[in-house]
Amino acid sequence: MSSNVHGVKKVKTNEELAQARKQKEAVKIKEYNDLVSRCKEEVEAKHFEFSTLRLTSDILQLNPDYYTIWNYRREILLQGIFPTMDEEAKQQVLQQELEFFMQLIRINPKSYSMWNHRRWCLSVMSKPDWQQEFKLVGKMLDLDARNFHGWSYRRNVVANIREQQADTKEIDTKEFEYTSTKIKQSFSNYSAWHYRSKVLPSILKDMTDEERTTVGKKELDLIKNALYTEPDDQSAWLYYWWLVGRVPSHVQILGAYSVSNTPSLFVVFDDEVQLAGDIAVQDEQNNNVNGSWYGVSSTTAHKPSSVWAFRPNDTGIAGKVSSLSLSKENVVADSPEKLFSTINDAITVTSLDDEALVSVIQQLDSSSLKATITTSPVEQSDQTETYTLWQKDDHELLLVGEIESLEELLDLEPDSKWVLQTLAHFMLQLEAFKKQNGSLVDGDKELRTKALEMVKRLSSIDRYRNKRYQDWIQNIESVPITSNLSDIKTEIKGRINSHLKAFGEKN
Amino acid sequence: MARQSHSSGGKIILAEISLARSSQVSTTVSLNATQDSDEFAQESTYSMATEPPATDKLQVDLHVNYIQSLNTKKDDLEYWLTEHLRLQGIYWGITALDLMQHVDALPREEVIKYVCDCQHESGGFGGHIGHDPHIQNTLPAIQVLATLNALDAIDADKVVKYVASLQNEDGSFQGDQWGEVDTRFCYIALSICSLLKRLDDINVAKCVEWIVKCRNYDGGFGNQPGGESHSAQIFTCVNALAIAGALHHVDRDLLGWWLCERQLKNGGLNGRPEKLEDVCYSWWVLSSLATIDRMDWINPEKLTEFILSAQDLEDGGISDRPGDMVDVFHTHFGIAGLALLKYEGLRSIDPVYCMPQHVIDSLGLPRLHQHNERI
Repeated sequence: MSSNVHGVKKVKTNEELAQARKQKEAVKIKEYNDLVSRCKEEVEAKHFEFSTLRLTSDILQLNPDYYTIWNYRREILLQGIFPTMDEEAKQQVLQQELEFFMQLIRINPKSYSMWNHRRWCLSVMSKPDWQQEFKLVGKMLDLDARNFHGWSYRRNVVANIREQQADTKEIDTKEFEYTSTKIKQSFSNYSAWHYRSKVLPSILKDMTDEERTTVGKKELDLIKNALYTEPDDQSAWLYYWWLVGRVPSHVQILGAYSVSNTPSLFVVFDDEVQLAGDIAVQDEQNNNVNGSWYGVSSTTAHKPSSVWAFRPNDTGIAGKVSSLSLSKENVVADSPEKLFSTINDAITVTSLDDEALVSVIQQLDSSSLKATITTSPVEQSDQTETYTLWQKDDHELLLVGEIESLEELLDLEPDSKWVLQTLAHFMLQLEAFKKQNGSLVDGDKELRTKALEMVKRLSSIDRYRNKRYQDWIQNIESVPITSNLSDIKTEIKGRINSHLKAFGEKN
Repeated sequence: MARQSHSSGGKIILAEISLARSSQVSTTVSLNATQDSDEFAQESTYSMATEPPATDKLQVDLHVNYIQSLNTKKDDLEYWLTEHLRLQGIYWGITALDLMQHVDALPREEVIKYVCDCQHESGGFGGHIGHDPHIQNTLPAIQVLATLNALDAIDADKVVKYVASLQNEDGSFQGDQWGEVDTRFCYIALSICSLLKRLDDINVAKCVEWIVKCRNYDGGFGNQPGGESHSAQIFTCVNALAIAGALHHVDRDLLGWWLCERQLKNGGLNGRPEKLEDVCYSWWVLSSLATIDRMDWINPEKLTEFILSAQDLEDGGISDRPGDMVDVFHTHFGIAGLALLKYEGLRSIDPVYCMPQHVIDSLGLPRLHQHNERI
């Protein structure tokens, strides 16, 4: 009622009906407002008694979202009712509170205040019955298998049960099986797939590699079952991407460069990064040089960049900066799945000579560097080198196998955007894996071409998301920057030019 | 837009603005969990219900009138049942009006006084005069005052102290003294402190650490560690990270993919997979995409059409989907979505703060989003 603004159809009305409705409403409004003011008066007078508690019940039945009234209710219990009671009586009152919740949930299953109250009741109970809560939440999710509050409450209940148990294996297994049941009831229960992704790691935790592989293979079977049944449903596909895992991409520093007659020093990476914290820059005599860092990006200061400029405070010392040290804490890749290769030694500054470069740097120095700022130290993402959580070896074999089976599915579903993009993704993953393994130097042209064709097809099949596929194509086709000096010059020049252009347009 | 302001008309008693059919779920989340999506059935309703030609334009006059008229609904029980949302309702109303270039359609001084009257000794604001303080009502208070250039009407120290007192040891924030914890409150805390330029008064790094624990395998974020990804929670987490300068924790390609798959055939966006479209997600999804520079991954024309089709062409306002009852919550988020889509005649909006860009700029705050770059 009151709080649900969603899906209420507008109904045509006429003057007469509206009048009749107004009269009826007037009575209800008076009753409601009287209740609220009586309740407020009692609370203000600190009459924390059962009679006041009943007033809050009456209001909450009409309006379960009225959070202040819920607060009153807890105040009444804590200040007026509990102090007069022994533990057993208190437990009984709280039990009644839980029953009150059951009455209200029929009115509105999505009220935050109500769920908070239930949590609070259990937190103040001396003997909360978590098994009873576990049963209750199961029933709720039977009624609505996607209810956000229901799943959230389930996590809460399970966390409490886990706390009470020395061995959490039983409850974890139970939860894992629960998601199997829910998924088999409906393959498009995204909530259940999600929950499974949170339980699976604890299932695998104490297993041998062999046991893990068995579980992983069973997961793949379940996924295939879902994909063949509902190929257009995204739920299983996303789980599939996660289960197969990702080859981490590495970000590297390509070097530090100075250009004759210009004060700035440039540090170039093979991907976008943010710089953070203090970075030691030194001259030939190993004295620290003070100055500021600026990301040379085409946009805002907060955007990561592959080119970073250092400007000494004393611009007269041009050319004297000779080395700098970057630690892992100073470099932040722009995405959590990227790893930054650690650098231990000081990086020696290489000198670049190029007239065209000198002229763009002079423009940069004189105009727009002030528009960017350095970033303050930032928290690093948790980084992991493992590809999947269940399989250590044979990642190549896994990808090859999955590609084969997806190709079969593609024969049945030639226009499925999910099959196409997963296949393209796995192919590019296979190429990346082989490259990292050292078994490929220049990449696998055949895999790349096939993947590219699929993404191109996707951009014509799935028109709404066309731009995403265009960006993907650009990513596949983009050639990585290498530490080759002419590459570096091009990168610095390109960055500065787009930076000047962006800020020039803004100014 | 050289039209006369609507403010000169009848005097509006602010404390009486009703939300008539407004949402229970605060600045951030509107959880639409029961119905299973039936895209095709929806589509047919949609095409049947939206034939009138006027639907292809934003009816600014109607919406301004609708927002102004909210104080006249005292005959509706709904007006009284939504009292706890009144301060948030003022934020929705004022922001929508400002975007439509009609901020003075509501009386400035009365709005400021009303907002101040909702503040408690603790520094927090209640949802209405006499209602208990909650962080969820504190942000809209600050947002409204900032939009009206009246932040000096309150004691910022007190507000910041209140917000800081709600941070837990693990970095998360609770909504009030009763202890609910949710990523919504992290965003709210960061946004308040950023608007008041007092981010140093809370532990931002710890908060970032906690938000990252709420990240999922699909690139999205939930309400707590372990919670399922949901567009509104994603809005709060991505933009909290933007305020904290920590967007590198977001896998933009993966999350951008999940977000752009929220667009359904009828152009509308849903909040989770296999759910119905809803106008408010035009904001939650689109602003998150804007912050991570992926807004062009959805079809803007189709979304514009969908939002416009949910307008009430008789009485003004925008509803969750075509043919439903309107409310100020969806009116605001529909207009905010259109503003992000650069709809003609609307002022631009900042996706991180969900406030007019000119307000953020005049506060001297940097543009933290990566929006506007490629379009």
